[in-house]
Amino acid sequence: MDKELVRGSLDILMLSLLKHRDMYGYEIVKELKEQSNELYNMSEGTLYPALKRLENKKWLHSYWTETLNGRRKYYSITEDGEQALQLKLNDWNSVHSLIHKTSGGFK
Amino acid sequence: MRGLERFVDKIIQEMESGKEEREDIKEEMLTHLTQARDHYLAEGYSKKDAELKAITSFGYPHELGQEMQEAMYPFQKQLLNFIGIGTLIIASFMYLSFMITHGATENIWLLVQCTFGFFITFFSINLSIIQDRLWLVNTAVFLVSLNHGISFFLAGNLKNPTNYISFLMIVLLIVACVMYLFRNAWLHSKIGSTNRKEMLYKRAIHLINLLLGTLLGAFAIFMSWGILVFTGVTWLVLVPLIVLGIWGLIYLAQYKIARNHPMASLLFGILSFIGVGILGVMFYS
Repeated sequence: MDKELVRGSLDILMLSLLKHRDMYGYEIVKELKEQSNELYNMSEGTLYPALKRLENKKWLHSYWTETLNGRRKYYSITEDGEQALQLKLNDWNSVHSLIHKTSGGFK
Repeated sequence: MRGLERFVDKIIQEMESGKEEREDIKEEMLTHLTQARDHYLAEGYSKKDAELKAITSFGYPHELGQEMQEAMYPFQKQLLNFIGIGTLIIASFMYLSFMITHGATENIWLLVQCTFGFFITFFSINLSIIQDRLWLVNTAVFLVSLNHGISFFLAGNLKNPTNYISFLMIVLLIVACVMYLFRNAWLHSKIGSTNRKEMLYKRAIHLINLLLGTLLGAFAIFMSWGILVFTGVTWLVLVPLIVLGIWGLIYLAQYKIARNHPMASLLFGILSFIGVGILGVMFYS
């Protein structure tokens, strides 16, 4: 997978995943890898600066939970986050249709 | 486990975060790396190889650290670097200009410029040094901005166009210093507070004190320059510095009691602001 393309879509990917349920860092990476059939090959660590940025924009909210293996930091999407996700998805779909048209339909 | 810890330490080194924040980030990343390592162990890798694979999949530590720094304190490292190097550049430029036109410079001023320029640049490249000593950088930036105020008056003694070039550079630097200080207060109060109310109180305290500091700073620059011109380098120059020192201590005191007594701290701040205002009015009449 083109790394630059994935990097630019990281925000949408994370917001989409967290819309379904709260997750912690490692879980998010695992989901991305599973759902992409291992095509997702970005450095796992880049998740964390992205999570911080989304949290600063108040699109995500984080909380610690005690588990058998120690503390885990879970992330959940906020209302603002859901709105931002919807806007981004709209943009994404517009780009998708444009590419579809200009390439004469996918081969 | 120690290999993983050393790896995370390399990441944390690139950030200007305080202790609590660093511990939280370290914990979060370590749990991720431990789980990744355990996953590879289960797949049959040796302990050493599992650790190595977990680390390689995570990414390059310095890059990651810098991305974390940018995510939490955007542009601050660059501003600090600009202030440090800019100070050294102005010092060199004005030194050369003075030597050419007058054959001499103000040595004390030059020494102060170069010392601050050096240290601030050094801090901007090694953020780990300032992690628990943010007050040190803030004080340095504040003092260097005062020195730049003096530079501004000194530059008046230069010929065209070196004086105008100097004026421009100095103004840019002073603006950068003010931006750095205000943004520091803003960003660190957002991140370091346990609840919204505490954050708002802290911000109010920072705003009042920084505004007061800006006014006192400008006042100190004018006073110092007047004293230097009329009486030369005498102990009288210490007076405005002592005033600023008192302001600094009151600011610090407010910040310390803010956590447990936010209301009292805020009142203290407002009262000191009014107090100085009254003193100022009395001074002029």
